[in-house]
Amino acid sequence: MMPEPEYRTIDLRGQVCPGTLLAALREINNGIAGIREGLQVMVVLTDNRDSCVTIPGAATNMGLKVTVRDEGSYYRMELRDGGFGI
Amino acid sequence: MGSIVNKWWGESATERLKADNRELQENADRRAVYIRKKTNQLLAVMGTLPLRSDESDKNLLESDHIGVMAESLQHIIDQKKQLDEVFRKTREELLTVLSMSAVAMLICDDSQRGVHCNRQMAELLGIEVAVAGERIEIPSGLVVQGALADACRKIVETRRPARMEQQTINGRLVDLAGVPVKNQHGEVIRIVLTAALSEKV
Repeated sequence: MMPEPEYRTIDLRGQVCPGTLLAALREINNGIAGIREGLQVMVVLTDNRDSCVTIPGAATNMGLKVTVRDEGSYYRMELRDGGFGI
Repeated sequence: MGSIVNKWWGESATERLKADNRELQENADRRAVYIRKKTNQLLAVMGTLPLRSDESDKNLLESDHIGVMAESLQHIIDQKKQLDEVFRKTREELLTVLSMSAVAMLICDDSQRGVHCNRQMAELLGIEVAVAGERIEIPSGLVVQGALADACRKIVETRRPARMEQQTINGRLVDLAGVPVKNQHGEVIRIVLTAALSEKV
C-alpha cells in the first residue's frame, strides 16, 4: 500500500511572473523524483493570475497533474504525478 | 586617499588597477546582457513573459536561471520521450487488433482516403495489398467509393457514429458501421468503418 504523500508548500504570494515560474521550476526540479514516485505533492500558493497558466503549463509538460483552486485572495495549485493517462 | 595610493603604488599602478576594474565591470555587463537574452529565450520557450526590466544585473549573475530552465527542459524532453514510446506501443497494439479482427475494418481520413485496412476488408473491396508481417499495406491514394464513401461523408457531416444496413459492396450485402475520430478541436480526422455480411435477406 502506498504511503500518504507528503505535502510541501511553496508560498510565492507577492511575486509575479516570470519570477514565480522560475521559483516554482527550481522547486519542481529539486522534488520531481519524489513527486513522480507519488511520495510528494507540491503545493504552490500564488496571487499572480499569469502564474496559474505558466506554472501548470510547464508542470504538465513534465508529466505532472496540476489542479488549481481559487482561494479568494490567492490561488492554490497542487502538483502531483500525472501518469500517462493512457 | 588617492594621493596616498598614488604615492605608495605609483601613478601607473593606480591607472592599471582602474583599467582592470573597468574591464572587469565591462565583462560583467556583457555577461549580464548575454544571460538576460538567453534567459528570455528560454522563458519564451516555456511560454511566459521575459524577465522584468527591474531585475538587477547582480541578481541575474547570482541566480542560475538558465540552469533551472535547462533542467526543467530536460525533464520535459524525458517526459516526451516516454510518451512517444507509449504512443508507439499503443499504435502497434491497435494495428495488431485491426489486422487480427474477424470483422472487415477500414480507417479513412476525412477525404475518404484509406489509411489502414485489414485483410477481410481488402478481400471485400477486391484490392491488392502488400503484406508486412501481420500488417497489410493498402495502396497509397486509395479513395473509397460507393457505400463506404457515403458512410464517410455522413460521419464527417454529422460528426457522429453512423450505421448503414443492407449496403452493397462488390455484389455482397453488408451492414456498415462507422465512428469518427476527432482532434482536439472536435474536427473529424479519421473514420473507422466496419463491414459485416448482412444477416437480413
